[in-house]
Amino acid sequence: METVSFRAMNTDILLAAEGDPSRLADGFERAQQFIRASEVRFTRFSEQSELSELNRSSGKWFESSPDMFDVLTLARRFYHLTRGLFDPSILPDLKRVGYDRSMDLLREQGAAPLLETLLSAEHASFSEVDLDETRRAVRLPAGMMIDLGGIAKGWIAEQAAVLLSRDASACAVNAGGDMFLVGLPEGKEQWPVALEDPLHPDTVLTSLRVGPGGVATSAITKRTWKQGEHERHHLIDPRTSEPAVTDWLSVTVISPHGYEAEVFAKALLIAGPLESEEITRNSGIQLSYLAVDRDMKIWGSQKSLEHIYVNTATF
Amino acid sequence: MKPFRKALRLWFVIASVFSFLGGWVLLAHSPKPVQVTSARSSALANLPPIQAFGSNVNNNGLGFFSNVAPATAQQNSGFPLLMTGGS
Repeated sequence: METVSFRAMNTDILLAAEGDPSRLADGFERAQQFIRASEVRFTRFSEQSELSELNRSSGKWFESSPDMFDVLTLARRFYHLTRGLFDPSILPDLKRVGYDRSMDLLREQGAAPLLETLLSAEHASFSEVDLDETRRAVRLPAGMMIDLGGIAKGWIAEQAAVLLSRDASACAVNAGGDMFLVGLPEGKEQWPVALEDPLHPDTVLTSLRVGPGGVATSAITKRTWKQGEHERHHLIDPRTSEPAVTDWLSVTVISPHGYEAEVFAKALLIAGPLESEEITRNSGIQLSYLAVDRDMKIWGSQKSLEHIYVNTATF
Repeated sequence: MKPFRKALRLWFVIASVFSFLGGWVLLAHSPKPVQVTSARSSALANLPPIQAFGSNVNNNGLGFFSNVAPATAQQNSGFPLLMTGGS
């Protein structure tokens, strides 16, 4: 299996594929170009990105690219399926707690103090976003600003993997832990995926066996920073507008699509053990999930049994 | 009719006596029930709990894996390491 690694979307990207070597180079090139072009489109850290343009045009109709329209359509659907726990309109809250620049810059420069002016900022619900399919136009409610960081990353990984698969018999695109797998490596019945220890990223907790589809993990221990005396992380609970207080350190979701895995990893981490099963059941999506709690115990849904290696057949 | 009644009574008496004696003999020769002593109870208490399906499932329908195989058991040399842990 051949691999290409590079950095994009403020994370490490790994492309892995097997097949005819003379064609793989083209596949890698195409996938890489797609990822870089998508990063330019979906980033909120550049004033020139399509997402920033959309945010500036809130309250007015905005004619979007097909890719942006696709992701927004998915985002609105998942907002409902997760009962609002996945909510792209939490961008003002993210900025208020200091995440107003890329994570690399934030770590280098430190966070701005708490923006009290935004503390009581009310904004409309994400369900009020208008999507006009015939014109491919979007209208955000006036004053709404959105961040598509997570869902876009899962979507980009999936699209890039599908592009790469045109020149490969099996391939994987891993965008900082959000991955999409196409086909199966020769002679294997599953892809081995290592589950990271949320407190010690260089340590692997266990290996998962995963078929073609999406895998994503959300953790409150990864994108962290200090804002004055406060420890912050990037997962905002839309119910409180604050970084989520959770029983779990990380949630990993395995599902048919990369963007679903990303969205539900975030939503279930915020939901915690009391609500996760219900949200999963009501979503109607065939997903399984694993959660790591503060005692480093691994919890899982019934369906997750098929993805984990245990020493004996116990749960 | 009278001889028939007498014969029937006799038959009941004989059948009851033999059934009683047969049951007595059967019980007398059956294995003794195990007596649970305090020593035996403490030995059971020292055994690790059985990890039956469902014993690690909480009220919310989630189970925790008490016996996850270490990652090293599945490491594949030459295969790209696909890691997931949040970004």
